[in-house]
Amino acid sequence: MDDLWLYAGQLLEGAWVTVQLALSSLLVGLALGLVLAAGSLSGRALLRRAVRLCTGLLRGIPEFLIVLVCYFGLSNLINNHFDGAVEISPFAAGVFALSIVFAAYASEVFRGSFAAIPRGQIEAAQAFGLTSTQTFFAVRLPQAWRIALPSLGNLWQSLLKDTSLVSVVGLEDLLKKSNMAAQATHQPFLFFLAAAAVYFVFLHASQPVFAWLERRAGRGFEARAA
Amino acid sequence: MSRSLLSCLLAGVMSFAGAAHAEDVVRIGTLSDYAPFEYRDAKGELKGMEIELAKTMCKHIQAKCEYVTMDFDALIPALKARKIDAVLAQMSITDERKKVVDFTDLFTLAPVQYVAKAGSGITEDPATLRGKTVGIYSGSSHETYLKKRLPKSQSGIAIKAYPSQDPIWLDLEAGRVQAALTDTTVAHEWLEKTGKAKGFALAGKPLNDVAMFGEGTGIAVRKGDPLRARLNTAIKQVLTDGSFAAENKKVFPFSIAPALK
Repeated sequence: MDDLWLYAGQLLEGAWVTVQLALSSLLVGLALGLVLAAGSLSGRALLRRAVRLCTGLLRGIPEFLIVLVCYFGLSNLINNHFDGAVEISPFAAGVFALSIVFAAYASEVFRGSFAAIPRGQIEAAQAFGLTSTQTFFAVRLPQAWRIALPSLGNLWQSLLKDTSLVSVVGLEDLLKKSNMAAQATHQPFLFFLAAAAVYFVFLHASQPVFAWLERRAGRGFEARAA
Repeated sequence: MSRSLLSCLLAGVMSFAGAAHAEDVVRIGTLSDYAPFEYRDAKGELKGMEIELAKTMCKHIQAKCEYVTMDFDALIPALKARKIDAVLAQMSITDERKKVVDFTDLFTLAPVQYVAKAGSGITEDPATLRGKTVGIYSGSSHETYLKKRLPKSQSGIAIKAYPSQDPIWLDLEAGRVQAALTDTTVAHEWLEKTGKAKGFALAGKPLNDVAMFGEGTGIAVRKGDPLRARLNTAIKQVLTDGSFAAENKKVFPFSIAPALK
């Protein structure tokens, strides 16, 4: 147990990297997911097909490979074609890889939830003279958000755990740090259990946030049901 | 406004890239979980025999060294992608690796040997391993050796590859693998220092297969990189001035210094 206290600082550092990775990827992924959902619901067949092909590919390739491609492939591509020596940091590559995968899954969630909004509401909004932008932000998005939240909560949980994939390119996240501590002290069980506890605490701590978001997004519906 | 912001960003990226490739900075790719050669202590500082020697060698070649840690499998791709300039991570010099990178002269020479339960009857003879599973570090020359020399279809030896060394010991204790194939240096660390290896021992004799395990380990650099010659001088220096022997003695009771040519 003494070793655990000795390495606690290291584990916390790793935990901080994990949190940074997960939150950055969540934000970028959500924004990108909305854009992709808009694309896959677009009236233009060509755009729709292209976007669906992209999200299909991203969901069909192991995330581990996407991380490798982003870190090594992208900088190779840039350096070979533009004769530069552009450095992509492991963190940037990690966030990029995790967020495009998150976005691909989230776009499907959004697509489903936008489709779940009755067509009549959009017609009603038009009848009230709302522009399509107004309709999107006042009618469609708040409702789609409410429907999407439970699934997004699921995606968030797997995202937080997938951050450990990024250690392959040298980012020292929670799992990598516990692996290092396990190696140095020869107490793998102690440190892997500690890492498991930290992941669990993070996920447990994020649950009230999602519960609050869901309550907030569902205000009108709960009042009506009561 | 946005254009000026963009050019600022670009300038930032360019200057950063420029700094990373300055002549006297050598970025050494290594591991963070391979005690006693390279590992992080409780403060997060990189320690170990190879790290200490690297610091000495960097002084000799008057270079400012930066250490970048990653998974073993990522080291050669990172070297080729110019993310690092040299790999110092107990990397065996093998023909397969020589196709993609250049190696310095020999740096360490560690025998390769099986570790198994004492009295299990397992030796270096493949026949004693028939029907058993051997654990190895993924991407290592030990893995290549088992795959090429003793394919399962002929030898009846199953292999299990792990992303780091510790799970191999865990599974050896748990009986999921009946033997581990590793460098005696790494085995020594587990057998002698953890207090958990009771009943386990080095099995048989060290394997002798120069084509597979190489003559030992070296520092890998990109093909044609003049850094190789500089590192060779530094290796010679630490081997002759006693600094290698001093670091060696701190971690192993036996010498892993190669014979000087």
